[in-house]
Amino acid sequence: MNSIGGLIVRDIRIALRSGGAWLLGLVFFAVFLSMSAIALGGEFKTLRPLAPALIWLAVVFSLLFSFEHLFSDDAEDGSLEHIKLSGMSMNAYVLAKVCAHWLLAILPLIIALPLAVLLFDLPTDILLGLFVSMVIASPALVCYGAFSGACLVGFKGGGFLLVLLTIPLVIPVLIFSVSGAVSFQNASLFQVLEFQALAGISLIAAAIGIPAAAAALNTVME
Amino acid sequence: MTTATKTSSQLVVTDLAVSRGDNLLIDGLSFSMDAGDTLWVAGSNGIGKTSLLKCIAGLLRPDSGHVVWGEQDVHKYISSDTGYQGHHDGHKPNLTVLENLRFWQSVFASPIAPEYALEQVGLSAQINLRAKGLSAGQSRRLSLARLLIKRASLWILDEPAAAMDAKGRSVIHALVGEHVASGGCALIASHTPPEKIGNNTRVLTLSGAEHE
Repeated sequence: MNSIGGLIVRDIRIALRSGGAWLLGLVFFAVFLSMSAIALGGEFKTLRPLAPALIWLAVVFSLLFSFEHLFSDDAEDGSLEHIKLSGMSMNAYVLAKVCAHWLLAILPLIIALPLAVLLFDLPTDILLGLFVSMVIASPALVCYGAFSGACLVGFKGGGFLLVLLTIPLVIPVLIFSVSGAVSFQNASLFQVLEFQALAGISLIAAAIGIPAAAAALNTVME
Repeated sequence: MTTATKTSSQLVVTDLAVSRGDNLLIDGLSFSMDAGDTLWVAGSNGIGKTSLLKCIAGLLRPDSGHVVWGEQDVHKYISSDTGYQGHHDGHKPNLTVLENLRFWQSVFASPIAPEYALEQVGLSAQINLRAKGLSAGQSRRLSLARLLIKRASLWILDEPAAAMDAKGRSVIHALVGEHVASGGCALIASHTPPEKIGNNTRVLTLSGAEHE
C-alpha cells in the first residue's frame, strides 16, 4: 500500500515539474471545443443538441494521446526493472499508474466541464449528466488506455497503433456516455439505464484491463 | 514478499542458455556461488554479459536451464532479495537526488535512511540537486545508493564503474567488500581488470560461441 501511494505521489510530482506538459490534454480539450463551435457556425440553437457529443469526443481524443508514455518512460529508463525486482506486484504498479493518470488527465477535464458547458449555453441538467457520465466512465477509459499503452511499450512510434487498439474498446463507452448524459435530464440517477451499463463497463475494464496490462508489461520486459 | 533467509543465500546456475533475438549468446553455463563470493564476469563487447546478468536477476527468460537463488527459481518467483544495477540508472530527471531515493525507499520498504546511503556513496553535497543535473558518474553513484537502500543479499552490478573516477571505483570496491564480508554475494560485469574483493573472488570469462 505504501509503495502504491509513493508511486502516485512520484508521478504527480514529476508531472507538475514537467513544465506544463501534463496540461496538454486539457488544452486540447479546450481547443477542440472552441474550434468545433466556430466550425459549426457559433449559433447556440444548432450547437446545443450537438454539445454533449462534442464534449465527449473532446474527452476521448484528449485522452487517447496521453497513454503512449504512461508506461514507456518507466520501461525505458530502467525504473520498471527495479520495481519488478522490489517484489511489488505488477498489478499494484499498474493500479498506481492508473490512479495517478486519472488524477492528472481526467480530473482536470472534469473540473473544466462547467466552462465547456458555458461555451455551449447548456442547461444545468446536461452539465450534471455529463459530470456523472465522466465520473462513471472514466475508469473504463483509463484502464483500457493503460492496457493499450502497456502492449505497446518498446515500440517506437506506437502512438498510431495505440489509437487503433484503444478506439474499438472506447466506442461502447462513448455511445453510453453521450446518450446517458442526455437522458439524465428527466430521470433520477439510478433510473438511467446507460449509467448502469457504464458502471458495468468500468468494472469489467478495471477487472480485465489492469491484470492484462500487468501481464503485457511482464512479457514486454522479457 | 519475504526476503530469503541468510542460510539459503546460495546462487546455483544450471546449464543456462541465453539468447538475444536469433543470437545464441550463452550456452551450457553452470556455476554456483555461496555467501561471501565475488564473481567478475569478463568478456568483449556484445558477448552477452548484460544478458547473462539480467537472466540471473530474473529479468530475462533463458532458452533453457535454471537460475536458483535462495532455493527458488528466479524465473518462476521473482526474487526481491536481488539488487540489480543495469545500464540504465532509472532516476527521474526532474526529481531531486533525495526525492528519487525516498521513492525507492518506500517501494523497497527499507529502514535505511536515504541520507545515510548518499553519504556512503559520496553524494551528500548533491542531495537537493535534480537528478538531471548529475554527471554520468554521479548518476552511477546514486544507483549505488539505491542498491544500499535495498539491502539485498545478491548484488548484480553491470559495469558499475562506467563513467566513474578513480575515487568512485574505490567506493564501489569498498562497498562490495563490505557487502560480501557480511555474507552477501556479488556478480560484477566489468571491463576494468578484476580485483580481489573478499575472501573468494573468481573470474568468469565469456568467450564467443563457435557460431555467430
